[in-house]
Amino acid sequence: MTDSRQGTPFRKPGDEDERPTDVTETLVAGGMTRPTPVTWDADQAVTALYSAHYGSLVRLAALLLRDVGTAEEVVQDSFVAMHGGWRRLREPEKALSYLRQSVVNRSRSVLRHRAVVQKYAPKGLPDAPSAENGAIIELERTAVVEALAKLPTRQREALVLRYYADLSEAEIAHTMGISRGAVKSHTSRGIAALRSGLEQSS
Amino acid sequence: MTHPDDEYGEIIRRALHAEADAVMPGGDGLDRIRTRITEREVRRYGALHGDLRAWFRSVLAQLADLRFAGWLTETWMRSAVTVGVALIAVGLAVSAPQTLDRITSTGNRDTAPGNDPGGSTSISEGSQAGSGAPAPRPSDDRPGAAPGASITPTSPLAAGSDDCPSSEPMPMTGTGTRPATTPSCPRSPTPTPPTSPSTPTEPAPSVEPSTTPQPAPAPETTSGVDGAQEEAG
Repeated sequence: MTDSRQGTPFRKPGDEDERPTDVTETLVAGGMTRPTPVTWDADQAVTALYSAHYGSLVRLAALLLRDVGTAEEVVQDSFVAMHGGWRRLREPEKALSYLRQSVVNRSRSVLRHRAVVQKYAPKGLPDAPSAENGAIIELERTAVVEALAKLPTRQREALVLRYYADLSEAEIAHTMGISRGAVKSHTSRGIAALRSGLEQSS
Repeated sequence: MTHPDDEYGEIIRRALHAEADAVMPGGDGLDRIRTRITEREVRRYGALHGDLRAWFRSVLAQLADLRFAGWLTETWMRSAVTVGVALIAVGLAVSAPQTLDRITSTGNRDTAPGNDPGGSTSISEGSQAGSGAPAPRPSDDRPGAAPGASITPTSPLAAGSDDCPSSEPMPMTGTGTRPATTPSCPRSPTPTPPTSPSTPTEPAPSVEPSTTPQPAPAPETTSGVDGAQEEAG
């Protein structure tokens, strides 16, 4: 499609060249290599990305924070921040990466704050499953989650991004804001610590 | 041989996916996001702007449900707001009394034959081409002679055909605006802008030069105008 290069930025529904809404379009800034940059505005981006990725991002944050309510707040704040900085973003792929990065960073901040709170209020979080809890259904899952919660933040992030989000090392490095070598280090150390924790629990 | 890390990796993957699948986000996430966006804009731009944007956003959201939002973008919204603001500004400018007077005076000046480019050109051409033709009829050289009675600037022009307009103020505009077409003035090629912004409706007999034989009688000016127009024709 080349009609929306510049002359017809708006198309009405029912037109022959109506843009499909069930696919993710790749926006090219400047149109250097490909024409047709159909630019989303901030509101459209929020709506589209919410529909496609809100659930997965909430689950990602929930794995990091172990609190669904806080995870939703973190993800919503990330969407709001993306909306405010939308002028600097012009591609859906970059927007998702930005969202993911924002979710991880905000989760890290929450955990830091939570660590401070726990320092002065060492009571366990109500949503954290304990070993004495008889409602455990899947022992393996609970053991892994518990062991994961005991890991340092960076190691936990690396493992969650790798084994839940299925990101590559480069993507994990970009999301966490570290080098690929650091990603490998955190991942290997995290697995080692997780293995040790599972062996001890078993 | 399976790497130990791979084994634990699979265990971790299964456990994480099982844990994540148990998470069910609330259905009002998008509404909360939009509410926070509106609140942020209100804090940043003020209540009116925030409400306006919220209203537009709600309209767009409703249209998005109808799948019409593809062609209703924020750019369109901004353009519409810009056009509306421009129209309001133009309306205010037009409604200003001074602007009205200016337009009125400008319109009167425009209606004067002297300001008619064709007429002035014809007059100038006539005065230049026919050395004697326009001379005996000073009224011809008066671009604005016909409506002179009603238009102040025409009278001095009509009266002082041989006199340079530079010596005469152009009271019609009163704003220092030089007439679009200066009457023919072989002696003074450069007409000067009006110096005294007198009342446009008042005639300016004082500007009459000594050489001006007539103070711009209406019928003569009319005929002069007609003559000028004929010359132009």
